[in-house]
Amino acid sequence: MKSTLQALAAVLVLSSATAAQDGGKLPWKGKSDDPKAAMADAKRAGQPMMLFFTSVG
Amino acid sequence: MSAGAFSDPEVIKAADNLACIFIECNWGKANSDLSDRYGIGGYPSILFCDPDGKPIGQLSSREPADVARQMLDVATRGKGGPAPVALPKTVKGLTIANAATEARRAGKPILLVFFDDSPASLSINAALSDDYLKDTLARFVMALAPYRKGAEDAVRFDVTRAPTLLVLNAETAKMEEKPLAKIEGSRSARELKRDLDSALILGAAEGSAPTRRPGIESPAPDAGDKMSDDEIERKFIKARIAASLELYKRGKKDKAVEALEDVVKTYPKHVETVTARKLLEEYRK
Repeated sequence: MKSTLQALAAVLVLSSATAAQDGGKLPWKGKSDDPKAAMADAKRAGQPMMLFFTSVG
Repeated sequence: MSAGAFSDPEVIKAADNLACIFIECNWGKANSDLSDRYGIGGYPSILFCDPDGKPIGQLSSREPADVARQMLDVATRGKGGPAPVALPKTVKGLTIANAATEARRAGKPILLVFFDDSPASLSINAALSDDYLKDTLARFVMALAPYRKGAEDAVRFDVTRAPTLLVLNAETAKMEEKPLAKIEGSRSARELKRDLDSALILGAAEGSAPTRRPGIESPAPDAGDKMSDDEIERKFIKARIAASLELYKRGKKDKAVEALEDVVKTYPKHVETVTARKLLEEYRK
């Protein structure tokens, strides 16, 4: 029983880690297009960047 | 990073001043050129850059108010505002030779950090400066060595990239030949703590300085000054399972399976191995 619960906890850790990587409600660029193009746009605009490296997929 | 902070109204407002760029890495299968360029070793990782893409810091807190404050600060500095671009607090350390002497005197292992000016070294610098690691780092004698390919120290310690962190037992004759741990690439403070704690456990299991010298704090003993063999094995197995989970999260399924198979093979009858077996079955599905 204990071991089953531990295994389940491990699986939950994996799934919650995935769920926490969607970026919330910020106005992300590069989410549905090329992030490198978004970085180039920021450079042209002289805008500092926050890069969010994630793995949702 | 919690999605909660990124949904906080204060953080959303602060985001007006920055380009927020979402880089889907799909466990290393996508945008690997960007991950490599910035030395990303785990997900999620958050870096702040100036408009030219040069890193100027990484997220140092997960609290919404702190996140918003840091975003505003970066926005000001990144645009060439009044405050100069600030790197994370500088980590202090001894030379290798002085660290070896001090480590033998204090009965502590050495944490040797090879660094350069890469974004990954910047990330490690920030992680090592994090208060979250304060207690763990107190168990080491810190040494720093600038990394140059082919330099004497790099060759001696078989280091081929920066950042690389080595945990060394100064009491062994040739400490460079058998490091207790070799940590390469970027890590968050939390990941680094886990890796360093595992190294301390391994050091204790191998009978190195941390648990043998009187008055030296061993890595989180539950009772008494000395861990039992069972306790050492239990902690080692748990550390391997944690490492396996991290590898799996990073898309390195083969390595994750390998780590668990090693546990099952080495400790087939230990009660903690049951967890490793169950997880192994999940991975293989």
